[in-house]
Amino acid sequence: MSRDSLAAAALVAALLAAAAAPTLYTAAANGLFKKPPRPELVLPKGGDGKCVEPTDYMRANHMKLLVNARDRIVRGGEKLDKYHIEGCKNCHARRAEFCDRCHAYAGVKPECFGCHYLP
Amino acid sequence: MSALSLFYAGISYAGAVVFFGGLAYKLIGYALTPSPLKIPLTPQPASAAGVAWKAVGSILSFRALWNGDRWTWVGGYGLHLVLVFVFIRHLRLFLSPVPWPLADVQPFALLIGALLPLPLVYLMARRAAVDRYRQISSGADYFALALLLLIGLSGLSLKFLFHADVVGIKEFLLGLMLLSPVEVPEHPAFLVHFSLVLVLGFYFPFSKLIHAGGVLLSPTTMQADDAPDVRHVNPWGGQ
Repeated sequence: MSRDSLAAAALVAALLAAAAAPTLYTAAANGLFKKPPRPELVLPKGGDGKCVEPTDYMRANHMKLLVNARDRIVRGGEKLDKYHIEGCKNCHARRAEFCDRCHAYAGVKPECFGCHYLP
Repeated sequence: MSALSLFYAGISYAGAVVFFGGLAYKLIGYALTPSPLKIPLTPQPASAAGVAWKAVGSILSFRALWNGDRWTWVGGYGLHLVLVFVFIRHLRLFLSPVPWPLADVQPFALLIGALLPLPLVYLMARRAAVDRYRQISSGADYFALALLLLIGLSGLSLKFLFHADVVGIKEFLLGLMLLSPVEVPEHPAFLVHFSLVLVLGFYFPFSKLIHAGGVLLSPTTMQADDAPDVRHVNPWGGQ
């Protein structure tokens, strides 16, 4: 094998490894054929198990409710209502056991907690 | 599993096989193709290290395009730069656990990644509006741009119009990667976006988009200009 073909082989291998790198990383960290990891949440005990909106809606859109509530209440001067972030604490007492789990899983760092103290 | 989930698991794995298999097939094919002639595009360095260094610079600056056509360079370089940030935006959905700086850069990456439709529309308009580019544009040229545009618009709709359950999407993607598929999220905008990406995966290795790897295996850009010093032997011509 000439030097040129060795270099070409190394180049091809590097390109293919680069294309497969994310899969290799995740497979190495989690193990193949295992159920994909998912965030484990500590759900509130007691209560009626109902959030301010249905669960499916909250999973996708809670951030919109919070930003909207901020604009209405903090900037528009409306009265506190059930959509304000302070209301979340009534059921989800510990941020580290609820909010943070999904945020870490999905690689999201919301600004909320820069101002709002949620233990 | 639902029929929809089975369908998407099957088509995703078919897409992965075709994408990675096609990529390997094409790149190995390029690497094995004999180059009977010494044909570096001069000026070119005379050493392998010099050629490698020049290739790095070419990839980072699109030098040939810059020298050839500044207006095309603006669109092409802009498009690839934006794609880098789109890639950074998506990595968090494929890597578990999310490695350290990735979550912190998301807001900044979004600012640039969200511009994806701009260079695509610009490059399309350039092909359609300028006579000499319309002459040399084929259907495949428009198809690649239109496919990326549809992927970009459906992706942006997921971010700005129809929010999906990102955790459910990531679980689905990780399930595919770990060969342990779970139910596909039944969110119309996500299914549109994901289906279009699968089309891209099937199409990529056999289209002009293979330039992503092929550019590094092209004799004109990768041969050293060392003809005076080293005898170039035609691989099938013997001495």
